[in-house]
Amino acid sequence: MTVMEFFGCGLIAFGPPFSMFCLTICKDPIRIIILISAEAEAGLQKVSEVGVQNPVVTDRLTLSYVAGLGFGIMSGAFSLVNVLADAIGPGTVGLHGDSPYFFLASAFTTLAFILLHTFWGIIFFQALDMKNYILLAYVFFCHLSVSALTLFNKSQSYAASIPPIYIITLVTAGLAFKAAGGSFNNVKAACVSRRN
Amino acid sequence: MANRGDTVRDDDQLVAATNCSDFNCISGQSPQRLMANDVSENSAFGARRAANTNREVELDEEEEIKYGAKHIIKLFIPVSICMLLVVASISSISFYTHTDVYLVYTPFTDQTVDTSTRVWQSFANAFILLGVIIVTTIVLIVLYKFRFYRVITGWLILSSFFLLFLFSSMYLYALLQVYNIPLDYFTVAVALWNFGIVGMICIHWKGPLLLQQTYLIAICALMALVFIKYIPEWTTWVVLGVISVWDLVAVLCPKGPLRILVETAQERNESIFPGLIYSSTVAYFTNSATVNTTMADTENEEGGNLTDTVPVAFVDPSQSNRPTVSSNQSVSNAQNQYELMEEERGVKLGLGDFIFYSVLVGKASSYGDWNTTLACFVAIIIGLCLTILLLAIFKKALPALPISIAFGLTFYFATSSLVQPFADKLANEQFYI
Amino acid sequence: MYQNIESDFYCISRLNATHSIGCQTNYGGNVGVVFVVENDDDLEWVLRKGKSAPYIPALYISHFTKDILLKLRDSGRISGAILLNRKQSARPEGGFSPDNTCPNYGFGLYTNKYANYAYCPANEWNPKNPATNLMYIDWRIPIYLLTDEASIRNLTKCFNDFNKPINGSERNWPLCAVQLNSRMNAAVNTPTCMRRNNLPFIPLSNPILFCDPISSYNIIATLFPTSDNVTVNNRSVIVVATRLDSFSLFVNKAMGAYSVITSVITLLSVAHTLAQNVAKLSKTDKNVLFAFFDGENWDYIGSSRTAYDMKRKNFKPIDHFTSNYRPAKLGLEHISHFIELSQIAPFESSNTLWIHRDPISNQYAYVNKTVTDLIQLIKKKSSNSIHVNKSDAQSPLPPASFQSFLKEDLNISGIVLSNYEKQYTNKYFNSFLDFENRTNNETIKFLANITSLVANTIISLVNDQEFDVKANETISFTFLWMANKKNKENGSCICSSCFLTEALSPAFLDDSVDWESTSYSTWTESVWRMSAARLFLKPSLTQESSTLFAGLVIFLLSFIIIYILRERLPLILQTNGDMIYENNVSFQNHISREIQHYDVSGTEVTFSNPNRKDIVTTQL
Repeated sequence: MTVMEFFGCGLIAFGPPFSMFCLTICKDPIRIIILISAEAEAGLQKVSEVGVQNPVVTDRLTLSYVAGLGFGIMSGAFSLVNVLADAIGPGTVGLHGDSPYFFLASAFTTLAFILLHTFWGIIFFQALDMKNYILLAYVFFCHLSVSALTLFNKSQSYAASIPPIYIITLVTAGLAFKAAGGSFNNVKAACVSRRN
Repeated sequence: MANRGDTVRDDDQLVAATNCSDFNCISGQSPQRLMANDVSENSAFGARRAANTNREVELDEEEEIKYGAKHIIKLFIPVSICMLLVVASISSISFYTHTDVYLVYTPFTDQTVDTSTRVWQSFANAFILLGVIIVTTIVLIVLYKFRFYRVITGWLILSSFFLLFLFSSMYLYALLQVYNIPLDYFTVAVALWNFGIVGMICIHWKGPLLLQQTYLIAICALMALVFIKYIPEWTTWVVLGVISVWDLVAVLCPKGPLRILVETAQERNESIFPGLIYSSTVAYFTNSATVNTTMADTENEEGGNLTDTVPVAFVDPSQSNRPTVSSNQSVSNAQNQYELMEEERGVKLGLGDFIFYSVLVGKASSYGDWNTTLACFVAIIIGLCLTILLLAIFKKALPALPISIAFGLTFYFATSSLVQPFADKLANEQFYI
Repeated sequence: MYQNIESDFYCISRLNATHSIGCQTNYGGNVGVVFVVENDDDLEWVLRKGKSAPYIPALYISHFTKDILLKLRDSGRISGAILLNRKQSARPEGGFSPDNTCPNYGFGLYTNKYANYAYCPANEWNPKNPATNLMYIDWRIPIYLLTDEASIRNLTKCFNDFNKPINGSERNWPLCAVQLNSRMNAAVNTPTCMRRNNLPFIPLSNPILFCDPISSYNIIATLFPTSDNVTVNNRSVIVVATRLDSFSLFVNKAMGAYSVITSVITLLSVAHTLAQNVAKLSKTDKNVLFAFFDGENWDYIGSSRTAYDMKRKNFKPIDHFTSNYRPAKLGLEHISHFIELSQIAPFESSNTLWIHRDPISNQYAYVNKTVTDLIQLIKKKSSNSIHVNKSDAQSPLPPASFQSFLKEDLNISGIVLSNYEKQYTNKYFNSFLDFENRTNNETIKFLANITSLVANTIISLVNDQEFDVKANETISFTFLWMANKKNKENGSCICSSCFLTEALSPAFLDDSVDWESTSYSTWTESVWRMSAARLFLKPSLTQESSTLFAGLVIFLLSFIIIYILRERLPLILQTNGDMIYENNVSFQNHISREIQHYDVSGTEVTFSNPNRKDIVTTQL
C-alpha cells in the first residue's frame, strides 16, 4: 500500500513547516492567530487597533514571518492536499506514461513554495517598511519566475524545474535573512559566542 | 438508515428523530453565544480602573488581549478537535453521508424535484426547524425565568443521556461496520455503559475539567453527525444561514431570548447549565468567584444582591449537585480570591456553536474535496477569532455563529465552485502559483 | 492513476446448510500483479518463477479449467483470477459447464431413501468437462470475467508494457497491478449468516444484511380461469411445466439459451396456441396449468415450494400483484398429468425427443397405466419431423421439477421431455457460454413442431373430441418476457388467469424455519455492496519505503536546523535591529508603549525578541 508514500510526501512537503510551527509559533497564541488568519491580516490589525494596542502585532519581523508562513502553508495545503488524498491507495502514478516521481516532485515543489512564501513575506514586509522598491520588485519577479519554472513540471522535466527553484529558494532565504537583520558576521559571531 | 421499508422500524425512527431534535433545541439554541468573562471580571476591572492610572489601564488591556489570545487558542483547540472528529467520521463512515429517512422537522425531503421547488422546500424545512428551535428556546427561558431548575436539569440530563447512549451506540455500530470489526455484545454493553455514565457524571455533576471538555466535544460531534445525516442536502445550507441570523437576533435584540437568559443568569450570579456551554476554564468556580469579587467591590450595593443570590446558588437543589463550590473558597483570603479570579477568566462557547461549525465543515467534507474542507475550516476559525476580538471590544455576550458561518458559507461555495476546479487543474499539471 | 475496467461479471458467494461456495475478496479488495497467461510457460511463471507474488493471472478460456485454477489457488501465489473472453471468442470444444455432473444431487426425489438412484449411480447427466464443479468450490479469491474489448485491451497492454518478462527475466517495478473488490458479507453457512441477519436492531442505525435466501417468483397460468369457490375434481388438471432459471460462475452473465430459454419459449408457445383455440375446446371439467418454476438450479426451490404448498392446500398467488384474483387452491391430488419440458431444443441438429419416466412411481399400477397411455398419445401425435423415444424404464428421471412433486406424492403421473437420453447434449449447461447469437431457423422450426405435439397431446387429454392444431412456425424470440419492450401504445389491460407464486424454499418459511434442512433447498446468496476492478501501477516496496524515509529525514533535519536557528536567532539578528526600524515612524510609537510597559510591569508580556529590550534601551 502506498500509505507509506502518503506519509513520505506529506512529511517532505509539510515536515519543515510543521517544525517551524512547533518550534517558533505554537507557544504563542497570538502567533497562531496570525498564522491562521494570515489572509485576514488587515482586518485583524484593524480590529486590534480599534480595541487595544497590542505590542505583539507591532513586531513587524515576527508578524511578517508568521504571516508568510501561514500564507505558505495555506497555499501549499491547497495545492497538495488533494494529490495526497489520491496517494492513499494501492497504486502509484504512471499507468498512462506519467512519471513515477509525480508525488515526490509535487511534494518537493510544495515545500519550496511554502518556504518561498515565508521568505517573501519577510522580504515584502521589510521592503514596504523601508520603501525599498528593488526588494519589492524582486519578490514580485521571483514569484513570477518560480511559478513559470513549474511549467516544466507538465512535461515531466523535473530536472529543469526543481533544482532552479531550490536555488532561488536559497537566494531568497539569504535575502530574507539579510532583510531580517542578519549578516554573515553575525552568524560567525553567533557560532563563536556559543562555543565560548 | 434501514433501506427496507419496514413500518415498525420507520416508527421507531420517527420517535428517535423527535428525541434527537429535542437535543438540538436544547444544545442548539440556548448556547449560541460567547460570554465575556461574566460580570465579575468587568466589575473587578472597573474597580481597579477607578483607582489606577492611565498607564495601568493600558497594562490591563494588554494583559487582557493576551489573555484573550490565550483563550482564543483554548477555544481553537476544542473547536478544531470537534470539526476534525466530524470530518474524519464523515470521510471514513459512509453511513453518515447518505440517508433515506429524515427528521420529522424537515418534511420536504424529495431530492428529485426541480431546482426551484427544492429551493423553497429547503427554506420551508429550515423555517420549520427554526420554529421548533424558537419555541424550545422560549420554553427554556420561561422555565429559567421562573426558576424551574429541576425541570431544566432533568431536560438536560435526559438529552445528554440520549446523546451519550443512543448516538454513541449508533456511531459505534457504524464504525464497526465500516472497519469490519467483530465485537461481542457484552463488551459493547460494558463499554457503552461506562462511556455514558462517566459522561453523565462529568457533565452534570463533577469530574476532571479535561474529561468534561472531552465529553462536551464528543456530544457536539455526535449531534453534528446526526444533523449531517438526517437533514436533507440543501436544507442543511439554508439552516446554517437561517440559524446564524436567528443567533444574531436572539443574542443582540433587547428582547432576544438568549440575551434575556444571559442577563438573568448575570443578575442571579449564576453560571449557565453545564450541559449547554463549553468553558475554557472551570465553569463551577464562577459562583464563588463572582461572590468574592463582588464582595470586594462595592459592599453596600452588591451586598444586597449577594444575600439574594448566594442562597439560590447554594441552596437551590438544582445547584446543589454542582461540584464543591466549597465554602472554603468563598471565605478564603484575598490572595485566594485573586487566584480564583484569574482562573475564572475563561471564554465560554455554546455547544450549539460547536455543532453548527462542525455541521458546516462536515457537510463540506462529505463531497470528498479536501480543498473545500480546508477552506471552510480556516474560514470558521477566522470567524471565531474575529468574534472573540469583538468580544474583547464590546465586553458583552456575542453570537458566535454569524461571522463564522457567513465566512464558512462564502468559502464553501466559492471554493467548491471556483477554487477547487482551478486548484485541481493546477495540481494535475503541477503548476504552482 | 487508476483505470477502471469492466466489473460487471464476477463470482459471488452462496451458502447452504453446511458450506459456502464461490468467491470472496478481502476487505477493501484484492490486489495482485497482472499476468496474462497465454501458454503453459506463463502458467509456470505465475506458479513458481515470478518473484512479484501475489499475482492475479488473466487466463483465456483454454486455461480456465478447474485443475489449473485449483493449482493456482493452492500455490498461495495468486490473490484473484480473471477470465478473458471476448464476445466473439470461440467456445471450448471440450465443453464448459461449471455445474455438477449430477445437478441438484441430494435433493429432489432420489435421495438416500431411494439409494439405488441417489447421486446418479447409473450415469452422470452433465458430462464431465474441464470446468466441471467450478461453481461449487469455495474459492476464497475473486474471479472476474472480462468480455469488454476495451477492458481486455487495456489489461493486456498494461501487462505488455510493464510486466511481460523480457527474455525470461523479471521486469523492474513499478508493475501493472489490478485490484478486484467484491466483498461478500456472508460467511460459513446458511444457519450462521441467517442468524447474523437477525441480530438485535440498534435504533437509528443501519442494520447490516449478510445473506438473503435465494428466492423469486414462479409464473403460473391456467388455461381456464379458476375460482376458489368452485370445487376442482381430483386428477383433472394437466400441469405443463418448465424451469425459468440458469446460472453461471459469473453473476449477471447466465443466458441459459439451451439450458432454459428454448423450453420456456416452447411452453409459452404451447400456451399461446392453446389459448387461440380455447373456443374450440368444449366445456370440460379439465384444466391446464402452465408453470414456470424459478430457482430450480438451487435444489428445486420453485417446484419444491409449489409442491409443498399444494400438499398443504396453500397454493395461492402472492398478495401484492393480483389481489383480486382468487384462483382455486389446487392440491397435489388434482394433478392428472405432469408434462415437463427440460432442455427440449436439439443442441446439435437432431430431431429426437426423449421421454423420461420415474421408475419408482411407475410401480403403482394407476400411474403406470396413465403414463403409458400418455406416451402412446404423444407417439400418436408426433409427426414425421420428430422422433419420440422412450428412455429406459429403469433409469431414473433426470434432474427435473417433477421430482419435487413426486417427492410429496408418488401418485402423480408424469413425464419429462428432453433432447437427451443419458447425458445432456448441451456442452455448456449452466454456463456463461450457453448462448445462441444467430437466429436458428431449424431450432425454431423444431420448437414449433414440439409446440404442436404438446398442444395436440393436451387437447386430446382435455377434450373429448380430438382436433389438431398447428403452431405458428414463425415463433421467435419476441415474446414480451424475452424482449421486455415497452408497449408504445397507450397501454392496455390484459384479462388473464396468470399469477405469480412465491419461489422461496420451505426451509425459510416462518412457521417451519429449518436452515439446516436436508429435504428443502437451503441456498442463500451473500449480500455484497459493490464490485469494482481497476488497473494501476504498483510501486515497489523500495520506492515506497525510500519515500517515507526521505520524508522522515527531511522532517527531522528541518526540526534540528530550526531548533538551532531559534536558539541562535537573537545573536544572529543582534546589531541590525535598529537599522530595520529606524525609518518606521509609526513603529516608534509602539516601541515607546512597550517601554512604558516594561517600566510598569518589569516583565515581558510580549513575545518580541529578547534583544529588543537592548535595542530600545540603546535608542533611549
